[in-house]
Amino acid sequence: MRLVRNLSIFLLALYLGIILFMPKSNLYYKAEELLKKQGIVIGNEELKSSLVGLKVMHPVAYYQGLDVARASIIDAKVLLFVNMLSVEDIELLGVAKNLNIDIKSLKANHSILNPFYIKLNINGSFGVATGYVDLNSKVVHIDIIEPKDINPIKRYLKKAQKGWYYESKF
Amino acid sequence: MSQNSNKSAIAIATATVLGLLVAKAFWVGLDYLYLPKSGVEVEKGSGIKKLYYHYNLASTKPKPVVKNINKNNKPAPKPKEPEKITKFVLKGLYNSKAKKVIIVIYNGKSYALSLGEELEGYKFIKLKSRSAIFEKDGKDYKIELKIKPIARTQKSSSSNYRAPVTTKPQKVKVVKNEPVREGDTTVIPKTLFNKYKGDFRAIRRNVNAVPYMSNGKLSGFKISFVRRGSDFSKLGLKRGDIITAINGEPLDNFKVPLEFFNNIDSLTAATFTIKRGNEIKELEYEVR
Repeated sequence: MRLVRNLSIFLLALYLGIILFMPKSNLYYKAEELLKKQGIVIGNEELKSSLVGLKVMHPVAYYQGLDVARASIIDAKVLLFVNMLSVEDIELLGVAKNLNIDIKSLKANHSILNPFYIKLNINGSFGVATGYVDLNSKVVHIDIIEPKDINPIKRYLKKAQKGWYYESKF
Repeated sequence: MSQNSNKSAIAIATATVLGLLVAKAFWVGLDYLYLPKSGVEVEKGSGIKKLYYHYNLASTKPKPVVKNINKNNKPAPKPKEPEKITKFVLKGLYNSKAKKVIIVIYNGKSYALSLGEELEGYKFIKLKSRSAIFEKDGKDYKIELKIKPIARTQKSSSSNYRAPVTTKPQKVKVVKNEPVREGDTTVIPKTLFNKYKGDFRAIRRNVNAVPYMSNGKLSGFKISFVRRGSDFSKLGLKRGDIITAINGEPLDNFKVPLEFFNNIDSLTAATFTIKRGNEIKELEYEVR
């Protein structure tokens, strides 16, 4: 019984230690390295580590050296079993600006119970959308559940019985 | 009783410290072996290369004459002047440290050549401020730019570029607000250009291009639609054409078209290399 108790305490301390001692900034740099292989670079950012996550302030996303989007904040919370990422006030830049859309918030949730699935919630000038990224089948699917002004992005959308949706493979 | 509780407290503390230590050791090891210590820096695009009547005047300033006087006060012999190639016409050049590109007219067709490329056996080996040097069979040849720069320079997006004009100002034949052919070049009236340059919806209503993949790699953009009778149909583009390069820059990545559209405000001229069937064509445009 004592052994079980001590083992439980050890595992709990290990879990807390993994979250608390996580080198969040260095893991972010690693993510940047991986993104760079796809031609994406996050620049102009200021990193703020917290106990359970990392805040990236005023990031600008560059694709192939050209600025394509800016956000006010990226807030990542890593709890291992459940992980969350939220991006606020996304403004498209450069050529992407011609899409004429604003994204107020983008939230991505990941759970260890479904490791190859990322749930998405998006709120923008086009309305409210929910969707997912399926890492297994490499599919991004987004349903516009409360459409507002979808005209600027209509050409990228498909229509189903439930309404407009976007789907692409990567 | 108190001994038992002391033992229990020590066991709990040991388990906690051990757990935390293992976690710390894990991250220290991973950090040391695998994680980078600094972020990725942004390498901003330098803007698409501008060609055609554009060249770098930075190197056109007359260099100070340095007389090479030897002991006998005899000037050094002049180097042999390369022969001129009469069948080529140098129409434009881009001269920078990173890239040297020229536009050559041969047999009524224009070709964009980068340093090291060949045309009719002539290898483009050197670019000067107003001329290009070729090599064939160990002998040097040259072609010169026919136009002269003006003193007043027109500022473009990159400080390297100046817009020279011909010695006699050309008469602009553009009467209507539509593209007009002038020799090998299609002249786009400024008003027409301004009408479309920021309006992607209007562009897409008239013309559309989709990425063209070859062997799983991007090798250009295929024109999937051109509206008949539209301004875009007068640009010489046809459905099925594959745009393979802009100003000599191969469209094997999205950077080139993105830069092109990002810097479109300062565009005064461009050369599109297109593949139409088995034929390679150069479409030249000038905004006036």
